[in-house]
Amino acid sequence: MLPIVAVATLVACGDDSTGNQAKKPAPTDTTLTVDSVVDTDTTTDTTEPVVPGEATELSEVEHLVRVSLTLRGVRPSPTEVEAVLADPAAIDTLVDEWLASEAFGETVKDLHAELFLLRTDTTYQLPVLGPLTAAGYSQAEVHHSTVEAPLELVREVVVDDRPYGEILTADYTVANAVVADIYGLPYDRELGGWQHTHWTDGRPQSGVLSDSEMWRRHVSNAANFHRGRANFVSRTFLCEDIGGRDVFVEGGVDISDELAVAHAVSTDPGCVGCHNVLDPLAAFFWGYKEQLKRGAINSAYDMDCEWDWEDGPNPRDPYRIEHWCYPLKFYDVAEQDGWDTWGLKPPAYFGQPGRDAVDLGWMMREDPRFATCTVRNVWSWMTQTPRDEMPPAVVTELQQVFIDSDQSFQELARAIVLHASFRRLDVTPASDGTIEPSVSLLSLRPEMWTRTIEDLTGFRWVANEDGPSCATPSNICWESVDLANSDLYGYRSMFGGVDGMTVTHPIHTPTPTKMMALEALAHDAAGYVVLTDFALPAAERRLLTEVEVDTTDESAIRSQLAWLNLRILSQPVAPDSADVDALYTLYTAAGGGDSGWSTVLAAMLQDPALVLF
Amino acid sequence: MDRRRFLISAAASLGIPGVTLAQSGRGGGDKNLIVLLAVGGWDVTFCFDPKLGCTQPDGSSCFIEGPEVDQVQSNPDDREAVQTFGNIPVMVNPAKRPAVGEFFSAWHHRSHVINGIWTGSIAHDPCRYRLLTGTPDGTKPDLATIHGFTNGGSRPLGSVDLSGWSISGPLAASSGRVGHNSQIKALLDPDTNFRAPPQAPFNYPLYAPKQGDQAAIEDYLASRAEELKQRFGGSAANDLALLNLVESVDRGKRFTEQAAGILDTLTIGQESRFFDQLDMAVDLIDQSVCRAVTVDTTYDWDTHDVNAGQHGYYNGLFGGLSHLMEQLESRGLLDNTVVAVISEMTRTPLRNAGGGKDHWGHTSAMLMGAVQGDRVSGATDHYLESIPVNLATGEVDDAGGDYNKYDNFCAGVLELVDVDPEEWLPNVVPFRGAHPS
Repeated sequence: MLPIVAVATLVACGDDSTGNQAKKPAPTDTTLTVDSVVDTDTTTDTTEPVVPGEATELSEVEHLVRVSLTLRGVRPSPTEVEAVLADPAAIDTLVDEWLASEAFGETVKDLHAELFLLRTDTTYQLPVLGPLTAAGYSQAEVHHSTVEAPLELVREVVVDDRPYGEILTADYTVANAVVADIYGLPYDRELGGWQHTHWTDGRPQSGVLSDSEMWRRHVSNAANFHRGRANFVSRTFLCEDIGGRDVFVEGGVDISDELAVAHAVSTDPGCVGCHNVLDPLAAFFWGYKEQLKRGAINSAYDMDCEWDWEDGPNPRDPYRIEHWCYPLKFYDVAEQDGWDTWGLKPPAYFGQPGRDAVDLGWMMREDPRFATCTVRNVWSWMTQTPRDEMPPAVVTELQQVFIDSDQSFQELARAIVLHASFRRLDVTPASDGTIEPSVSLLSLRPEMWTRTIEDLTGFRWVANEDGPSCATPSNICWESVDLANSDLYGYRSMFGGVDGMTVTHPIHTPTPTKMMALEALAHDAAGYVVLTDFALPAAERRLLTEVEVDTTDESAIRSQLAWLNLRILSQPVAPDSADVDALYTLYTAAGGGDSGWSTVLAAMLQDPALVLF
Repeated sequence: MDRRRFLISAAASLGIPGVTLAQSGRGGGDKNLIVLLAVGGWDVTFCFDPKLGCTQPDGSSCFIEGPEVDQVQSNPDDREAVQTFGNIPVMVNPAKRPAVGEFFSAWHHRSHVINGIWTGSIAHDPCRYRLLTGTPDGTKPDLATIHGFTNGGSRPLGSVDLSGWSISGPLAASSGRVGHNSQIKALLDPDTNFRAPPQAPFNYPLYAPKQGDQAAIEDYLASRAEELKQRFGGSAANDLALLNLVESVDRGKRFTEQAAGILDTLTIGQESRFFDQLDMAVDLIDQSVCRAVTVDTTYDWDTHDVNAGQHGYYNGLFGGLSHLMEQLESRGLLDNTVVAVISEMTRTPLRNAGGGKDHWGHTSAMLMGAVQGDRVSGATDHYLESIPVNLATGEVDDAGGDYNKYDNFCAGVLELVDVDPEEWLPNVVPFRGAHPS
């Protein structure tokens, strides 16, 4: 007997944006006169040349800083600054180099982690039990491996400059040893690292659309019937947020009759508008379990991974208790036609029938909306602006770049950072009222912050808050946590990032907690530099390369300060400049020596020019 | 141009609503706001919207399974009943949810229940955005942030988020978070430090400037900010970013000075407990650290599997609410504080096969404190769906009323704390049923 279908199956669409059907306004009397309709004055030609607005542009170096931070999360080196000062066109070559760098790959992962809301270290962790315990994994390793796996797939497609749509159609998945053990995937342990492999549970292989972590994060409880997953896909890859529309159902549905509910989503005008698209899209995801949570896995191991049939029928039938023991069984081929069981629509993509996720992946990849949405997503991330506010002309222009390059994410990224508007800080309206697009001051993201500081100083702001018994009975050790890039103990969302669960949108403005965290990191990083640099030969140091702790010669100190200005702030200045004067004053007021350098570095590592660029 | 007017003109030209001379921190309103979230979707039939004995128009029983289905017949105390406290009928059970009856017995005269709020969605995040911001947009600021920004005055912060769920959007420069596991503690308390990894050759902090050096750093950074303003200023967006930076530094300093003692109960690595959040909220407001606080019950109300869990959650919630009201009253804050107890949705009328309940696109809310007490506004029908109301009075008006939607509700809350809702939710009619007469 089928369970009663609650009306929570409904994600119905209202037929008006306000949903207030109970009271409709009276029609307005509008009387048009002939004069108001027909312009009778045809004697004057008023065409005048349009005076363009005034643009404020970033300098070559400021643009270089913006591009470097955007593409790879670190500031340009002194060599790179000097190259652009010598020849502004050098930035083109640098962009090519940066797009081929590992750092760009990390940026790609950061972008998609935010887009997919994957890096959630505050909840939903798979427990370390069974074979994971035997393998000696920590909770941190399990977390990082699972959330990074789909991001690694994306990174590889982008870094290899393959068509971006392959993230939806790849006939493989990506796993490291931990992920392979969690899901029982083929894996070459001698080779190690991230490898191409494939799912063994019969699921269709189609890039991130087949990834377990994607559907662990985006659950589909009970009678949701995968609609939430369908909406995630539509919102993320097509910029069509079906579920974001207001839902209005008037008069109720006979909730005791599941057939009435299935009938309503197919025929009720208030439901059909969304469900005609949503339900067939959701049908592609049947086969995946509703969710895969820590508690269920713990319970399964408590039962020794086997249901005791003396206790009666398995309450999770047709799922088996052993599905929740490693290797986990997240997909069941026997469930993939569940839409039919519930009288719902068969798989289809906006009216076009499909068989499985492979079909879905290809239909999306070839959908013009995928190209447009990709452009919007990347532009939005890089310019820190809402994707629906992207200037239409720029959308059109960059969409063509993306299409003409066979969906090259690298070409799109290049086109964005070298676009005239990306260097344009501000522009006044033209005489006809039009405004050329510009990108105002950008704010340092937490991922940029941690990479920038590490690149400059060699310091990673890590902490270990594990208790002494975190390793037993089930390993819950998080080991070293990057405080700048974590929400478990760190300041990622407090620095404007997302935690993937409660904070789902970034904040791109300085905030009080951001500045407090920045100060704390700057202090520790400054202390680290003084501690480590002076313990090394000058040639091996990161920042304090021109002085020793007991150097008192003013010219040497000023020369060092000028070099720090170039390295940290990307600003070449003379040793006798006002900029160095200010730093020298700071240095001497702190008593010089290690105290002086700590003070100077603490100030420079939280300089406003690091926060806004 | 002084700094405050600078902000006003910059933000106004960006189209950030509500930024007028009166409302950019100088709103003049003296109300406080505590937004208390029951995240996950509470089952309103357990308390606010009793359906015991509910009948359909034809006289047959409603298809609604309330808490009565959990009654243990062998326990004579485990009985659901509708009890009216003043003018507020509430579902009570002395065995399972004694705190509910205790709360309404003591505080019904300062409480206003709103039933039949139409949420517009049945998914968690979309509903949360709607009930907190009055819009479907997760980038818009929420009630607490708006109120703090508008009426925060000279306080270090406009609003503080103890829950993790607040949405500050473009007004984030006026708000503060404490972190999922209380990590703000390490930033506030110089004696609280994270532990460096065992293999690290150092402990934290690696550098702690002497007072004079710290002052020198701050002066240096202030001059650097001014240089940046000279270089990049001139447009509304950039001016606002620069001003937010400068003001955020200032706010952070003042927050550190005033809030450190208040947040002493926080422990790094641990989520703050519900009752601790309530105490901190009262302290933060009482000591003028902020105007608005967001608090989380910390219970997971999303009872898809075992709806009976709602009993304990309601009992815990109302134990906390009684404590909160006592604290507010004893501090003389109750008359100028609005407490908005919200959940993003309620749960389906019937249970699913697993004994849980799924999502339902309607909800209730309860407002306490500086509101018209001892009343219920709105209602739901035999399908547990919202019934139209007179938005001005809160009276049910099935024939000519309007649905009390999420935006109407939020606009009403903003009015209650002396924020003009038209600036933030244009053309939305505020729900005024809970407004003091």
